[in-house]
Amino acid sequence: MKVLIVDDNRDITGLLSKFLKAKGFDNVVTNDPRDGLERIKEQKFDIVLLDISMPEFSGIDIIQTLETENILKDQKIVIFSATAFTTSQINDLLKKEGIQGCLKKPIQLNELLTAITS
Amino acid sequence: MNINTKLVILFLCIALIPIMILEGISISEISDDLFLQKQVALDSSLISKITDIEHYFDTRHTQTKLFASTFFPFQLDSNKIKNPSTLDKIQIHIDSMLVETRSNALNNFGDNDSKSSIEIIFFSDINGNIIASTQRELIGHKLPNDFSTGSDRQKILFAGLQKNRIFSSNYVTFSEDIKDLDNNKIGLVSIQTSLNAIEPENLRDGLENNHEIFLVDNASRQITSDSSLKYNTQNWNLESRLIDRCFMGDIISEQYINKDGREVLGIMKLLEEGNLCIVGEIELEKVFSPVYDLQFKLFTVFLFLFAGVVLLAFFFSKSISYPIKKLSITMNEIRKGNFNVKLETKPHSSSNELDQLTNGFEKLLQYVKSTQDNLKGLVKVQTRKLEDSNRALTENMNLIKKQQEDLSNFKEALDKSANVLITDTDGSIIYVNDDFCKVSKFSREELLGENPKIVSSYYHNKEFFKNMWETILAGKTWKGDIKNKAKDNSYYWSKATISPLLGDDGKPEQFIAILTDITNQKILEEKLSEALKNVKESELQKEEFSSMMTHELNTPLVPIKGYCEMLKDTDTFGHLNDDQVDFIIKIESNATLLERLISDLLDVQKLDMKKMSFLITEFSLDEFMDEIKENNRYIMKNKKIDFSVKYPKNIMLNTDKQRLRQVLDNLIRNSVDFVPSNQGKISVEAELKEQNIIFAVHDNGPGIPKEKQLSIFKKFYQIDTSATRKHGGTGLGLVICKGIAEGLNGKILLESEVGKGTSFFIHLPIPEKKMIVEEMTKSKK
Repeated sequence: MKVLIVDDNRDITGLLSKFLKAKGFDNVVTNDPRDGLERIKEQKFDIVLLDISMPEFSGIDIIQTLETENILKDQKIVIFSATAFTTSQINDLLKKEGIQGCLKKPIQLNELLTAITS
Repeated sequence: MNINTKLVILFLCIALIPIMILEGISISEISDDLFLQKQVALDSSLISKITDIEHYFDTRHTQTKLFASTFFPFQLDSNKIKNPSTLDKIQIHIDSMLVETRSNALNNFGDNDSKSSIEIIFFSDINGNIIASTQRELIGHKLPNDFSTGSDRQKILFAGLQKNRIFSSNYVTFSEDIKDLDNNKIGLVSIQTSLNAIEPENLRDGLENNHEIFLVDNASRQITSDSSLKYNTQNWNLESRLIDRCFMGDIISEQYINKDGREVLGIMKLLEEGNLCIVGEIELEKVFSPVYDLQFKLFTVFLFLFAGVVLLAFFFSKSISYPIKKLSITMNEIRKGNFNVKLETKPHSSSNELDQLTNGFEKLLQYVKSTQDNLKGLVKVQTRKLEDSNRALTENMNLIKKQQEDLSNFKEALDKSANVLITDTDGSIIYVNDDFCKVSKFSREELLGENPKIVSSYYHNKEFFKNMWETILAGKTWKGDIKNKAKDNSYYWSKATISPLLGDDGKPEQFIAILTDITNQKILEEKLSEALKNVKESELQKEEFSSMMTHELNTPLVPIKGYCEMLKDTDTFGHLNDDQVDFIIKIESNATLLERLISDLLDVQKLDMKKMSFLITEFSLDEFMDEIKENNRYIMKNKKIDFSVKYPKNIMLNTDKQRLRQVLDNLIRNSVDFVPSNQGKISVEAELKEQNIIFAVHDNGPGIPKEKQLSIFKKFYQIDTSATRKHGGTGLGLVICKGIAEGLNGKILLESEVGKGTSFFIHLPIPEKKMIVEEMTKSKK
């Protein structure tokens, strides 16, 4: 199982990468949202962990791009956000096909595990 | 003059005028006849009296001559007379003569009464000295000269001998010369006799008693008993003149006013002696008394006639004029509008033209009356209408008046309170009030005739003015705020009301702008809008800030909590000693607290700004409650709390699951903190009640005092504020719970008693239909 982790925060990507690795998940980490988008376009991941709040190019931008390019529906994505998870933008995202769920920062690792495995 | 009067006058003329003419003629003729008759009677009376008097005088003269002749035997001469013996003889002679006369036939004269007898005989010498007399007192008196020396014819002396009482009475004296042998006059013998015979009373004898006859001597003295006193010629000019003419030989027969002031017919004649005039007078009143009698009788008859004629005329005229007058009165009444007058109608058969006229008029009146009654009804209706409209008009007038007053008051008020500008349709200013000048800082002279653009600030765009002109040219009122520029280039704001003043043709003739200075208001508004903008910006910034802060604060917590979790996962990441595990747990729990604090702050802020949004989803109550049970199992076990969950099965809810969870978690967490450490008891129950689902969280904690129950929903409120408090909450939990419950159209209630625990209830509404439908779908699955 191959997981892509997209977050501008290296500490977070580091934590998640180590945790998933320890739990036996192959994962690729990128701290650049555009790079993340390119990787999704290049290769289908079993699951993408996508941070919403990123400078310059946000998780929302990535999702919208994927949607316009008709890739979103084929890609499982779990988003996570530090901002309030009930904002209308997040709610809109959750309605889209492909978006598996939303995790609130700070992420409970066992919750993350549940989200990935389900 | 009415017909009645005319008729009476006509009758009088016809009946009385001839009578009056006849009477006039007859009376005048009768008068003339009577006058003539009386004149003749008077004349004849006079003639007879003249005869008497002249006879009397003749007799006395003859008697005197006779006496004179008796002295002849004495052969007297002028010397002998002076001899006393002769004088004695003479004296004796005259005495005897008097005696003889009185008894003699010589005295038989007239009516043989004593009045005409000789009273005195006296003898006087040639010088007129009385030397012998039958009345001795007279001896020594002197006779008047003319008497003693006069001719025969004038030897009659009437009463009036001077200073002799005896001579003063009505006597007449006749004298005759005594001559000697040589026929020389040596003396006079005189007899004096009473004048009674020719006195008026005697003269009147045998006359009609209305005749007055008397004698007048040549000195115009009436010969009466006191004649000299009675006749005053000066007072009697007319007769005196007539008497003068009479003495000159004329016979007078004329009408004059006599001495007593009476109108008389008088006849005057001269006696033969020449020194006496006889006057006969008859009062005209007496002459005409029969005429007057006649006149009186005629007048009486005339009066009766007059009365009769008047009555007759009245009767006739009444029979003619009464119906006419009645008609006239009736007409007058009708003219006044009284149609209820009654006419006395006569039978139709009456041949009287007036009755026919009355009947005809009565018919006409009846006709008019009926017509008028019809008209009256009509007029009444019309009048009422007219009155109504009149009243309405009056009211309108009053209204208009009041409006005019209001208008004038308004204008005054306007002029005082507002800036007023009037332009003509070309846009030239034709009027500005003082306030306008004051605000615009232009003088009136500078403004009049100018376009209002003179105060334009060029702040407004072209559309603004285009809209304004279109509005007012269409005859409507434009309202708006205008920024203008004063003469000194300062700006001012005016709230403007611009109205067209319409002419009779409905087209605008003038435009009146009423401007209120709102510069201060505008400044305030600008400040306010700026402040609002600032507030909005700051709110936006606040939101951005909190959003960012949450992100930034949460982000570091991710690795902290993540690594703590990984360290605890000893199976995966290797063993730690007990102390290390304890440390890790403390780090993690504090990180969790921090995370909650951040989250609560964010929620409270959202509630404050009413920005909290809810995600309504459909979910199963069973799953929801199971999750709660499962999630709290560990902590309850740790804290040895008797934790139970109770709920009805197969219920689908339609609400914000996460928020509901947040509320219950919050309440449970509070309970966990407050229940006793040994026998703590917490139960979470869900119950359907009517249209609500009620979630309850019960605990057996210390309870909340009544006085503090209201305050616990306030921000940052904690019952125990001591440093040693065991509850580590943020003080925001219940505020957020209340906000969420209300945000989901529900409510949160509290039941608590000190020492007996606390219960929180969350009521959320659920549509019944929805609930049932969900139940069915669930059961099908």
